[in-house]
Amino acid sequence: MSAERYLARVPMAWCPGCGNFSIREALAAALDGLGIPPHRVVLVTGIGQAAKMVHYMEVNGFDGLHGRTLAAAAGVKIANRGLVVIAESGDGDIYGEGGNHLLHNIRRNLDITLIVHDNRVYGLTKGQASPTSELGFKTKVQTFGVISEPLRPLALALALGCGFVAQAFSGYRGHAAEVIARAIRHRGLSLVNMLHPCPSWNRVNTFAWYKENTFRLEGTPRDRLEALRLVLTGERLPLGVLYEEEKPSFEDRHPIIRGEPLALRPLRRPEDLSPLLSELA
Amino acid sequence: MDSDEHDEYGRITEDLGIRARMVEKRLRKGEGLAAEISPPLSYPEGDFRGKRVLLGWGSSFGALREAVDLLNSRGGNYGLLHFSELWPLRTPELERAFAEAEEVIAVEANATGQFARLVSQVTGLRVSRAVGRYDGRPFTPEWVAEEVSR
Repeated sequence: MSAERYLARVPMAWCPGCGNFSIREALAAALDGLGIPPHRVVLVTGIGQAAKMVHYMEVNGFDGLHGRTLAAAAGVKIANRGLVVIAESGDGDIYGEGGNHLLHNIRRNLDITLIVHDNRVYGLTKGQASPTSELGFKTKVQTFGVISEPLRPLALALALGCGFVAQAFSGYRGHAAEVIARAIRHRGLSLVNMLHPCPSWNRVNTFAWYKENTFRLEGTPRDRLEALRLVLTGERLPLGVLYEEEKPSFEDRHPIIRGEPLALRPLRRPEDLSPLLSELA
Repeated sequence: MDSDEHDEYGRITEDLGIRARMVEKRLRKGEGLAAEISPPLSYPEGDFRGKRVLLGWGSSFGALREAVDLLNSRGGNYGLLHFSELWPLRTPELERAFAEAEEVIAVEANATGQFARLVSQVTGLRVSRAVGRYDGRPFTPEWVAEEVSR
């Protein structure tokens, strides 16, 4: 088979040179490498340039509300745990609008792969600062530069005990595909922070800037603290899997969802509910 | 969900022709909605000839109906036209009420007569006055009767 089968043949509205094109191909390559047929994949996105991904892929999809990517993805996974659920959106949608969903879905630990396109700027709305923009980053709105500390998604996920924390760069497509594949294989919520340039609105963190300011991890840090030290104190941004830990997922722990996917179980007939209703009488 | 238009497969599109056809399609849904929207209630039953008609909407129904009874028991000649569904705005009952009634008085739980403005925007018909309660408390029949007969 080929990765082509995951790519929808439709006009794409991203700017020339956008990192999203490479991420799309990396995702297709990862799915192809794992041999997951398109009908078993559900791609859930939110709002933003990254969130257009669902329209440009030939898999099942759900395009949700701004910031609610993970909420919708959680619903899909709970309804049918037999499907491969990928939540994908941008740094604004996931780290800004959807911050609370991120915190609590890391705690919940459903088996969902979360890919966050992190270009440190709002692309869809034409260049305002995002939660990951660095201090001092100037935009047409933040004319004197950003005055809020940036969110550090990897440190946040590590501190919350996320079972899979990784970072990749769209410019290294093959490596990005490997990281995505590992994230999909991981059981539980896996975060891939996907660095990528926005040639239209971020003139600071360019393709060349990322090449210069990232480095490929050799192996995986020995524990969570070493991973944390790396992301909090390192000069350059690490690429690769920072932390992986096998632990029970939400589906494993939940007394009802455990077992056969809910969507495949026979529906109870209303008359079968009478023993349950009599308990309430 | 996206700020873009979508095509018949649910995929986003920036095609101008599809955009215009989708807008027209959604507008056509308004015709179906208008056909099945609830008509307003008239109280008391029958026509509004010679009556002062209170025009209300939403949860004020009970208080307005009692206010009509109260006013009529004191020798007044009042009626009520009450809407439970506002959009698409049903106009035949409004046109009939304005044609028959002595006057139409909007009674609304807001300061600006929002529904009276909507009626005027759609039909060109203007209420003689708008009585608003906006102190944060709900309508009572006594309050309405006093304000209306002021």
